Amino acid sequence: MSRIFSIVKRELIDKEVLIEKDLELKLIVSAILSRGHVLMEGVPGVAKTYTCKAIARLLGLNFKRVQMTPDLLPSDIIGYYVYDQRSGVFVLRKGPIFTNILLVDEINRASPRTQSALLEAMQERQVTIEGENFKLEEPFIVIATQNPIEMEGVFPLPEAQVDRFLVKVITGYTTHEGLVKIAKRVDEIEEAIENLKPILSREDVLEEIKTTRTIHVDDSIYEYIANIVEETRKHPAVRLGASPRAAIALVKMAKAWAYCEKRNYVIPDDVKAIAKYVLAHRVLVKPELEIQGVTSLRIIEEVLSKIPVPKP
Amino acid sequence: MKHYITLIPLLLVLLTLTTIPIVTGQIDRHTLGFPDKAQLPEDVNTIMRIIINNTSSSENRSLIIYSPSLEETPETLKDIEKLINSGKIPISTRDLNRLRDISDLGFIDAVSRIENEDLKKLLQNLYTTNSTLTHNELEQLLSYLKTLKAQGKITYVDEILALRALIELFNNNETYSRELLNNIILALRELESGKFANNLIQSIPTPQLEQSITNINEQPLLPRLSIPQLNLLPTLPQLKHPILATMPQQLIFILISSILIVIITMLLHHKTRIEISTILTNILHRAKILHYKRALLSTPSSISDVYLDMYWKSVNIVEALTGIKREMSTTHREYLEQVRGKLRKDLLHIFANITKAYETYKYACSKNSAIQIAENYKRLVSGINVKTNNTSS
Repeated sequence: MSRIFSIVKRELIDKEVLIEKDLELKLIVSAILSRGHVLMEGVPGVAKTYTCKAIARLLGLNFKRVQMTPDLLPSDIIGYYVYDQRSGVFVLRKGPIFTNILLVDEINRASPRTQSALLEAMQERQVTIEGENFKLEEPFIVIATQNPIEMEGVFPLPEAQVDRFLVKVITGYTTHEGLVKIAKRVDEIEEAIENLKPILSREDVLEEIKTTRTIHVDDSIYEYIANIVEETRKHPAVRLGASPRAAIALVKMAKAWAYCEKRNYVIPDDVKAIAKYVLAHRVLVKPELEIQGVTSLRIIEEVLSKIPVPKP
Repeated sequence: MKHYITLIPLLLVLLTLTTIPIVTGQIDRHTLGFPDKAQLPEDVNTIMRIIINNTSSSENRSLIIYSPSLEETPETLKDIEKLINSGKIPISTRDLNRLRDISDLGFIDAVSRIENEDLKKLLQNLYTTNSTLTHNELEQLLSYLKTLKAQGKITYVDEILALRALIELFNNNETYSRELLNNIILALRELESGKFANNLIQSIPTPQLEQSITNINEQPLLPRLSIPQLNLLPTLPQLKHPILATMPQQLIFILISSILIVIITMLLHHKTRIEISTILTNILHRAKILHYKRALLSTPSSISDVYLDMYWKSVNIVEALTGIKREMSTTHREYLEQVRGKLRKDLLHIFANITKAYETYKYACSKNSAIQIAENYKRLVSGINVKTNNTSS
């Protein structure tokens, strides 16, 4: 099993620091192992920020948080040069993007200009300030959150930019039992998160990322993934199907998922397990059908139930 | 208590079976499904006339004359000759010519008319040696004649001519002559009886015979010659069983009643009903497995890899056992979860092992898993055999 996931599981799940967040944690760890970015969507107050903060602390990685607002400028994120009167030269003030894990809270509140600057950094893993390129330190993972219900004063992410996120994790409410537990242990949970100590180093994380790449994928699995991606384009309810980047994302996430499952090979179950989270935000439903309640998640489920698994 | 109740009718049946000879006193040889007596046609002559009319042209019809019986027993050779000449004996014209003037025939003439060379030589030898035969020797000679006739080596006419020659040879012995004369009469009677039909048919020229058969087959009211004899046999094969055949109808009635009583008594008990239902279910289950196994062995596989093929065959077995079909989009793990709880524990364990080994063999390229697939597949098949045997026992 992946060391990262085993630690996260032990420290956060088994010790009930985060209650009923098993799937979200596994998806985020898988995304980290795949060097991918995570878009977390959920109503306010479902522990999106806590989840990201807890993982970052455990992994011994640099963690920074940016609260997006409409008046936030790109330089507020990537940094800028400032004139130092004492030395008489321009000095670089690095923005919060120079970190390992960046939590971008409410990304859809930022202006498109700021969003674009961030998304460029996510894709290129470098930023350009005043014509000078700066490589971002590995690993660089953006975990962005967005609130799906607020429509005023927000700038929904364009489809092309959403595609840059490896997975979209939809965080929902906890169950009744979970809610009771949270209510009972609220103080303990807050204290536990604040007191979390790094168990792994940055080098360990990089090593884990390297190991994830070595996970074996059979040719039949590649065929299976290609069939799924192509089928999303053929679906009659789909306006825009999954891109080749989606296929790459499926392979990467399937490898990481298999690694979290203590395997060094991918099976069709891995692909099925992550397909919803990798493809749902990349598949756009026809507006007339969207009004009728057809969702991209339902389309992906249909596709998965139709595509034959590798045989023999 | 249930067993005691069900035993009573069984004992009744056994008691009835053992007392059959006492009750009936004799064995009834009538086979059920057949009439008590054979219903022969009312008049054989009528049928024969129909056959003759159908089988002979008008000009030939006069040549074949049929006499149903010898109205008066002939006493002398003259009477026999008269009878033959009267045309009442069903023989062909050629044979009639051979028997012409039989009363006046000498030994040499009679022998010369015989067609069988061996018989001819034997009689000539007797004549030349002029030996005196004892009664036993005469009996042996007559027996020899019958044997030749039975073997089809001589005809009735040959036999009659031989007997006529022997009468001439033993002319001085009244006893022998009388006996030989009786044999001639016997031969004529045989000609008259059932065997005449063969001679009759043989006497018809072949083209006319074929035409006659066609005519008969074309007659709508006449029985077709092609009707197989099997149609006359009882339709239920069990009625041909010697025991049933010898049973009187009343006894069969008692037996059936007893069996019905047993069944009804058993059905009245709830536990028995459950047991019967279980037995029926097991029988059906066994039939299903046997059917599957036959299909499994007979269906050629399209999967080239023998170990992967074993996994898919295992899936087929599990599908047959549980009735849960593996969908095309279902993964091996998903299918294992689906059948969990539907499959017997030991078989589930084996199938889980096969699934695990299949996974590593196919997706992790672990060649060592091939042995596990093979071993567990063997266990699965033998496990089914055990289940089948248990069900049958």
